[in-house]
Amino acid sequence: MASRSYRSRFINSLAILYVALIVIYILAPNIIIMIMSFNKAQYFIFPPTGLSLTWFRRAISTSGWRVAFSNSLVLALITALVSTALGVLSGLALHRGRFRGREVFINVFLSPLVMPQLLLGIALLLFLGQLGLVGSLMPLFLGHVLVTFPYVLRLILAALPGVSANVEEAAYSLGADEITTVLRVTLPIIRPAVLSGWMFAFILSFDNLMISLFLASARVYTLPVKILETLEWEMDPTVAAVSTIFMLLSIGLMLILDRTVGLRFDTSISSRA
Amino acid sequence: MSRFRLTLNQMLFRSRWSTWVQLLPALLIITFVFLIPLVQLFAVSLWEYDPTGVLRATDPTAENYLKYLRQPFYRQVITRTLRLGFITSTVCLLLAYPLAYILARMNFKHKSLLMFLLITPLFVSVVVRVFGWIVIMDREGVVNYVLQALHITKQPLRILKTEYAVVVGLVNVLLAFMVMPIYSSLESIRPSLEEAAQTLGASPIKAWLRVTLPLSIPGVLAGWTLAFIMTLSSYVQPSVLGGPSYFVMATVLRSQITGALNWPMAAATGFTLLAIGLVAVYVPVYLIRRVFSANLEEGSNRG
Repeated sequence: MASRSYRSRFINSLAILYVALIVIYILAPNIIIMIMSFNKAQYFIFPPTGLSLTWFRRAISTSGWRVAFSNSLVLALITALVSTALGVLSGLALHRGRFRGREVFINVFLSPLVMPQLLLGIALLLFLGQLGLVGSLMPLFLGHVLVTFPYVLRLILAALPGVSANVEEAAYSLGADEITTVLRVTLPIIRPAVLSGWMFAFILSFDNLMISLFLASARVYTLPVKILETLEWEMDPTVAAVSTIFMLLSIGLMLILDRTVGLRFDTSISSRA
Repeated sequence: MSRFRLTLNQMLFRSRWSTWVQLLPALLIITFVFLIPLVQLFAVSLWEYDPTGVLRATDPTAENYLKYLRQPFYRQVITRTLRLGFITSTVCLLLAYPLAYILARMNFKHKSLLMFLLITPLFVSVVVRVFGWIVIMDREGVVNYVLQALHITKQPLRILKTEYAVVVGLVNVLLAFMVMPIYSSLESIRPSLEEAAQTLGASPIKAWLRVTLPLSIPGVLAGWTLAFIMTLSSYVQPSVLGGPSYFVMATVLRSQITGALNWPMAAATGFTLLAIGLVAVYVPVYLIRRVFSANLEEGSNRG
């Protein structure tokens, strides 16, 4: 008996060691960037030579980074708003509607999620380029809405069956019209789905690289695009400071999401599939 | 204001066409930002390339697709892409299965924190993570510093700009996608099944091999397929960690757009990627259905 518990303790610590190694592997690149962003040296040399906030100061004072950041932020805010509105509206129609081809509509609306974003990126570059739209935030906005709204739609479609028709009928019989009922009864009931849809749309747009990479131009670019181009051309520790800010923002958003509506593995994963 | 509200209500909910009015905005996006651009791009993929870079309609030809079978350069690119997909998703699987098993079967004090750390990759931009790997694997990076400080190597090793670097960077991001489906399939298997097998005389390894593993196959396949597809269309890791001569389909596609302005070939590359992805999704589903229905028949025959 004693040997058995000894063995299981051994297996337990082996398991904990394994999990710890994996966690280190997953977090390593993020932690290294944070360390390097406070490093004094001009180059990425390990180990760090001293503590300094120079790169953060430079990141904030460089107009290119400021523009990239504000573009990404504005884009993510508008995209999340529009995607949520589209998702809710089409979700209501697809949930309640009893028309032929309803399943087909749902599948087509959700299909941008399974397309390689590379493919969507060049398709949009070609099509919107002919319309003369490339060179502004417009094509980026359209592309981001395309890849985020199906995600909101799926969350809404999963939540709507939980709304009892009786509650809505009670609202009607008390004299509320349909808009009031949707705004005051239906939406509050599915609030967690709407909220997490909005936040996921925001994060997916804020982080998006593949769509933005094709639709960005020399004047209009987003933060991930600008970081990638800097990595390809000139490495300068400023990019570490920018990345640290970017990373902390993303993790902050994720924490808010976790606290307000709760993160579920399956939902967060399928959003990126 | 209230008249506007009345009209809006009428349009959105009470008219004969109300469902279609509600669907209209989404339909417009799907039609003009998705379906039409894709159809147009597919048409372009069947055109001939004009070396001057001017996009001109020609008679439809499958030449661009056939290049992936005929020309040595493209053949190399497609085999490298597929190989990278197989290596990455298999490494992911080997690392993820024990992890998912541990998470599903053992009680940790800080399990939710662990899960949180495991999914942070989904929220931190890929560009930032790849940047971190550059700093770690560079000539003057962390790994070379440690190796030299411990006197294991004298010269800095070339780690960056190799296939290893690409796989390390990809697995780092995709591991979370692999762990979750395996975790949820393992969690749905009651531990008592495995215990029953052991009570009936099976060794722990045999019990796992004959009971748990077969039942977790759907999760394994789902995770493997997901990692495989995501590797196929990954761009950042191959282009930044693999170096300028490490061409996979995604990087070829981009350089055809930015460099040669070869739209037809880029389009054909994109649709080939889509086709490989679809095959990778549906073949495992088909195989699982066949295997499971065969098992069911076998079971009912025995019964």
